[in-house]
Amino acid sequence: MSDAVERRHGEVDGYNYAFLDECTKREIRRKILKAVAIPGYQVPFGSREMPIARGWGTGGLQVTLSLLGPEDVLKVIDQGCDHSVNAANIRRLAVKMSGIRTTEDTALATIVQTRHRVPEEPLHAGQILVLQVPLPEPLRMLEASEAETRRMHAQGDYTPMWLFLYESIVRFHEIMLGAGYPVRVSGHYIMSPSPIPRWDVPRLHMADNLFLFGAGREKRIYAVPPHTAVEPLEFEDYPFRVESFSGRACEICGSTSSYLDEILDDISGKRSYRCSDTAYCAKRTGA
Amino acid sequence: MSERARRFRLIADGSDPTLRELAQKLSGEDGFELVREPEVGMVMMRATDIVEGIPFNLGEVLVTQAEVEVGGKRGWFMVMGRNARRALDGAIIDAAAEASHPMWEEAEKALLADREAMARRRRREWGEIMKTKVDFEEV
Amino acid sequence: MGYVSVKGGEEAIREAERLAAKNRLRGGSPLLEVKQVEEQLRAAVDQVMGEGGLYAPELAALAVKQSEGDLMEAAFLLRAYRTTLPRLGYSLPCAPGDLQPMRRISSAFKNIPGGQILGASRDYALHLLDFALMRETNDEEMGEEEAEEADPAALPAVLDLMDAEGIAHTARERAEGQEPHDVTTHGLSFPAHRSARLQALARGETGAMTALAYASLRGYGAVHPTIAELRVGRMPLRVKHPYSGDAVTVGEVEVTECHAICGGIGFVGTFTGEEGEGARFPLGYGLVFGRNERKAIAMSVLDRCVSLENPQAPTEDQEFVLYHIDGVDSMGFVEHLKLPHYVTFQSALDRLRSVHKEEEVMSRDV
Repeated sequence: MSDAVERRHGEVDGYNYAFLDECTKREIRRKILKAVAIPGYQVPFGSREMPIARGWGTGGLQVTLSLLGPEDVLKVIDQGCDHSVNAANIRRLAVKMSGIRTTEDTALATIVQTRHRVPEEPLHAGQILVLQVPLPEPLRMLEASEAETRRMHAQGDYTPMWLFLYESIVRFHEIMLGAGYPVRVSGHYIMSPSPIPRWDVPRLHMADNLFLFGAGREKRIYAVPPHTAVEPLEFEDYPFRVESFSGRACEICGSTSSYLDEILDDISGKRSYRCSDTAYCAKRTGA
Repeated sequence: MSERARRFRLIADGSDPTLRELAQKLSGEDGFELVREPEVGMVMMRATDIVEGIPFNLGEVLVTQAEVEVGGKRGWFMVMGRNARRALDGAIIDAAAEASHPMWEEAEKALLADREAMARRRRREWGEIMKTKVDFEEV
Repeated sequence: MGYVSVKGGEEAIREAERLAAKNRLRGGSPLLEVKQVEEQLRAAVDQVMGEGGLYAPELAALAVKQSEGDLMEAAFLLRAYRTTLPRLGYSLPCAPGDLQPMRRISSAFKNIPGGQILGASRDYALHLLDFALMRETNDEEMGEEEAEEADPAALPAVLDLMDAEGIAHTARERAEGQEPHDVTTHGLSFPAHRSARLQALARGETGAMTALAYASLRGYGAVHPTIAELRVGRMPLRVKHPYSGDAVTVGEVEVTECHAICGGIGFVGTFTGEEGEGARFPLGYGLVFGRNERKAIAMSVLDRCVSLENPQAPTEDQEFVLYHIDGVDSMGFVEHLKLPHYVTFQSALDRLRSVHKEEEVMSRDV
């Protein structure tokens, strides 16, 4: 798309279409292409300062803004919810800077930016899920040095990670990893799927859509292309397990097959459950 | 140093009102044509370190640049900060001088007077600073 | 219903912003003009420009006003603004000799050529609250007594003299043809090139750098320098004229520069020098936007710290220092803890409950 067209679609005087200047967008797109070409590899990029704070989704936002065109339809969620304050804020910025059309319906979006969830509804070919990533390095909890973790990835030196999982089993009889469970991509790199619950990890495996991961503060972009093997780390006798809701159902739509938020009633103290993916829940009830 | 560079320095020493007045006079009735809209942007300032003598990027400086045509000749000017007016005025004066505008000689005098005034301000400032010099002989 | 699902986030955000804006004006005092901030809160403006990595006094003052004096937030506002601007080009590299000083001191030598020039400084003023400022008016005389005019003199760098004597080695020759790394476009990679280290330090957060330099001085590190020279002055911004190609000065940028001689106090065992050249003091370099002596000194300490061949202390670890001094990164991530983490916390709860269940089963078995 030509610069002139982009400018016409811009909504705010003095800012380029979709906020980022065109050179920056081109750089980010080049880094995205590299990331797609090497699944699970963390590509360094010149992360820009955005008008939202580092650690609040700037990586995902830069990826999204570099991809947005006037024909796109954007959905933004945080914790699975379109109306979470941070999602609302990011959507507001994207709309203000590009006039982009938005939707809450996962099926209608061309780009979905998310923090901490993968939508329940499977994405189809052609859709892109952009995940916000706080800490892209899955080995960081074992090794503080970036130079060292890059070496470990390059040499496939993942012994410390396997040892960590083993020790967890010895101590707790469980792999004590909650969200952001490490996965192996295409049988090669170990990758952090971003802090999505384990519930969502299987959705990355052999999916029809492209997953892009943006870490703004840490200045890394990585990707899982469609139809790529994504396998959570596990042992034969201690297989990977998703969160258990042990037969609980969403009190609104009755779903027993979606990730649930635990809700504490402030008056009765009663504990109830609802779909974390609010758009999915709404669709099921026909709301 | 080329005539262009010499002239750039002269215009850069001019005060805002002087540049405004000269630009109005020199663009005359025919006016000027914008080659490029005044543009606010950044110049990455580079410095040389003392340890290894290598250049490094110190940080960016906000600037405004403008490019115009007067009498078929082009002029360019850049100023620090967000100041489209001054960038444009500077570019007009530069272009008019390049086009050998009959009033350029007079304009040059006004710019030289501004330069002298600025040099005097700097000499006075330095005089004030020199009062803060520690004189060990006197102790 | 006891719980309303989190719809209406957008509306709540709008109202929260409205309330914050209202609180700024609630007191009803005269409105602060940006020009007042620029001229009267100069330390804040300079710090914000340095940490924002953008020399723009007027906009830095606006950022200070907008953030109600939160300087990390103000630097962040400048950084976010710079993201939207085109980079029109690069200046010609200025050298330490290009700096026109308004203040220069040396702690290494008593008498230096050109003299110790204190300039505008409060270093030796007593740190007492000045209650007179509470009723200050514009008409008060500054006690102005005409100073004599004098031609600004070039002052030889103290280091050059030490170099001539062979006790410190400065790079007189510019290393030609080297394109510096740019951490704003390529991020940091390790081991970081010297140009990347200097740039990251120059845009670092003053408080973080002061703390880490202090840690080194105290003993979490071995660098404890003597200041050969500290200068505050104007550095010309020179660019190539697009038509003629020769250098023109667009304007002047106020900077603070520090030359540190390392190995000057305590353990003097860290000399450098090629074999046969004789031992020399290693050096540290600091150069920052605006008048910010604390940061320039801290930078010169940390420059030396992260240049050591055998890093021992955290302050000498390139990644530890360079990753954590960036104010925009650190404030953003620390404050992101305010964001909802319902999903991830639920996932962690699931793990813990599963362990509890196991423990219950095991205790029943016993």
